Formats: sequence, C-alpha cells, structure tokens
Amino acid sequence: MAVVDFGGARQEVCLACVPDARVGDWVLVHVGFALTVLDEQEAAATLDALESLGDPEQAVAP
Amino acid sequence: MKHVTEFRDPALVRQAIDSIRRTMTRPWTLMEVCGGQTHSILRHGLDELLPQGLELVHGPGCPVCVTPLQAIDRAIAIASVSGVVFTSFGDMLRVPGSATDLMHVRASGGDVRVVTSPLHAVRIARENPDRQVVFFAIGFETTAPPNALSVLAARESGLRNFSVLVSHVRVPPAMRAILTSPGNRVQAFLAAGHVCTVMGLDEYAPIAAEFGVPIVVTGFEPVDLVHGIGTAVRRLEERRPGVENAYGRAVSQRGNPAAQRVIAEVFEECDRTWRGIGPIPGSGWRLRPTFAEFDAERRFDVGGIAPLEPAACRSGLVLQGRIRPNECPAFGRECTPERPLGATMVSSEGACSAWWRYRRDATGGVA
Repeated sequence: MAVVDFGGARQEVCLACVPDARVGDWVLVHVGFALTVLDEQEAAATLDALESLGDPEQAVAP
Repeated sequence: MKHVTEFRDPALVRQAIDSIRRTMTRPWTLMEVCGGQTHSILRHGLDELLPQGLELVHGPGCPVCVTPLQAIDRAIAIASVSGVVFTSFGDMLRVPGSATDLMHVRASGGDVRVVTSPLHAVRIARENPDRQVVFFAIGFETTAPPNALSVLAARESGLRNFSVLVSHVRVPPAMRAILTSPGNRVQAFLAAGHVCTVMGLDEYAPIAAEFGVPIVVTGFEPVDLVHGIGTAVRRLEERRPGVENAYGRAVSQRGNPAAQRVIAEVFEECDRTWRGIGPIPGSGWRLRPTFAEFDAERRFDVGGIAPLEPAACRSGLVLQGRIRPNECPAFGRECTPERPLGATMVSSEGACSAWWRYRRDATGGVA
C-alpha cells in the first residue's frame, strides 16, 4: 500500500499491480488500485504530435 | 493536476479538430466503446465541435448498464438474506432489477453498503467475523484485477465470511458482436483506454484485420479524445485498418502483465449475457473452480431466478448504438435519473444519463 496525492486529497492505494512504482511517480488509480505508472515521455510525445498538427500560418502568436 | 490540465487545453483541442476537418473528405461513423468517454465527449461538447458528417456512436462500455438483469436479481436476493452485509460500487444500488433495486432492499432494512474499493469489502468482512459479507464484483477488464486481488486478500487472511458475486465482462468479444450485428454502422472504434492499460493491444489486431476497421486506443480528456478521433479519421481516409495507440502515457503494447497474471489466477473465461444486448460467447469472466469457496452463487441459493425486463426501456438499442437516448419514447418522461427504467439512465457512465445531464435542452419537449 502507498499514499497517493490526488491534487490535494490523499488516499491509500494498493500497488500490487505496479511493482516498479517509485515515490514521486504519477499513477493511474482505479477503485483503490494503481493500474499503471504514467509515462512522462509518451505524454510529452502526444502533446508534441498534436502541436505539430497546427497550421503554421495560424499558429503564429497574435 | 499534471497529466490532466495539459490534456484539457482548448487551443490544442481546436487545433486537432481543424486538422480533422482538413483531413475529412466524406462522412464517417465512429464508436467510442467506453461510457467514461461518452460522458467526457458530451460534457465538453466535443460532438458539437466536430465537423459535419463525423458521427460518434455511443458504445456498450458501461459496466453497470450491461450487468445482466439476472445478476442484479441475484444481488437483490442475497442482499435480502438476514445477516448478510452486501457491498457494492454505488451506481449498482439504483439499477432496476425485475421487481426492485438494492436501494429499496436497504430502505426495508437490508444491510447494503457502498464501497469505493473491493478492499473495503474485505475489511468489512475482517471486522465483522459473525456476518456474511458479499461483494458485487462487476466491471470490465479494468476492474477485474482489483476484484481478483480482493479474493486473493480474503484467502490470504483465511476469511470464511467473504464471497463475491461475479459478473465480469470483456470488451473484445463485444466489439466483434457489434461488427457482426445486422445494421451495424460502425466504421472505426475508439478503444477504451483503461481497459487497454490492463490488457494491452494484442487482442485487437485480429479484430482490426478480420473486419478491416481502425481501432484506436483512446484516453478520456478532451485532447486525448480528439487525438483518438483524428487518428481514426486519418486511418479511415487512408483506408488503413489496424490498431494504433493514441493514449501512450497510460497504455503499452503488452498492457500490465502483473494485473493480467492476477486475473488469470482468479478468473476463467465464460459466456456472458449482456443486459440489453444478449448472450455474447466468451465475453465474461467467472471465478475459477479453485476459488469456489468465495463464490456467492454457491454460498447462497439463487439459482431459480427468472428475470423480467421493463417493456418500455430501450436501453438495449442505446447500448448497441442503434438509437440515441432521446429517441427512446420513455427518455425524460417515464424514465429520469430519479425514476430510472434502465441502467443506462442510472450509471455515471450510461449514455442516457449523459444525455440527461448534458443534452436535455436539445431533446425537445423535455424541460
């Protein structure tokens, strides 16, 4: 078991399904169980891919 | 909160939708499988921002909605037994059974308790050794590892007063059932992100190949959803069926092996009847015989229950994406969240409940 901070609210969560989780990781929690450690690099890659979809002409700051 | 806030960025959503508009050359129909996605789409109004001709059909991925009536009736029968503590996720309490619901069992003196985790049910059993404690173990692949772990925890603690009423369902057989149903309109799927967090992507490749559909694993925030929708549309336009992961931060190709091992230890595949849809071969999980001592259906005599659906409810057609909730004659009239006829109006993941909360004004005749 571990304590997970949900943007301020803290709850005990079972880590049996995420044996590699470390203190400071972001985890996906469902009904009191962590189901995965969120992948920071993949998160950044998704946001980058979407940024690059923008039309370059429209993306110029006003 | 990190991993949420940046995936709700309106500018990024608009940009992704503009890109979809530029990509589309003809109408397409997509199904979002998961009820959590349905609620997010309607809550954020994404369906109204998408280009004309791009239709999202709501899928059957609402665990509370598809739990068979027979299982609800069995839950009601067990919860009514004197001395039983019946524990369940909150949504199940108001789901109509053939004659009543769990809330009414509680109102007439039954000890029905809401838990937010199956481990709470185990704790109640540990703290009440003189009571039989039953947990209603429903849900998709996402909830199966927690429910399985509760059975393992009960066995480890030597609990003899804990059992589970199991009615688990699996997504891939339901997708096959939808694709083979007469009148199917679905051309691509947004697969349920958190189901794939557990199970990975491997089960979906054969479906994509056999039916020639794109299947895009998709998350739940607005940016995740438009990313998944855009990926599916691009594949449809390019006539490129196959499986793609648009939810990389939470889903890997293989899923979560530790969670899969727990499921395989406790559950085995079985046929399952889905409420409103009917029997789907191989679409369920039940307890393995080695865990029979934790099976509530063996501990309590609930075999002779014959369920009876309310005639006016058309939730079956809603769950199959064949009608929208507001096309049901009972929607907002005989059937409201206060007096639901079907589970789809009860659950926080049900399509009728989502329409009631976010699209009531658009339905006409319902104030």
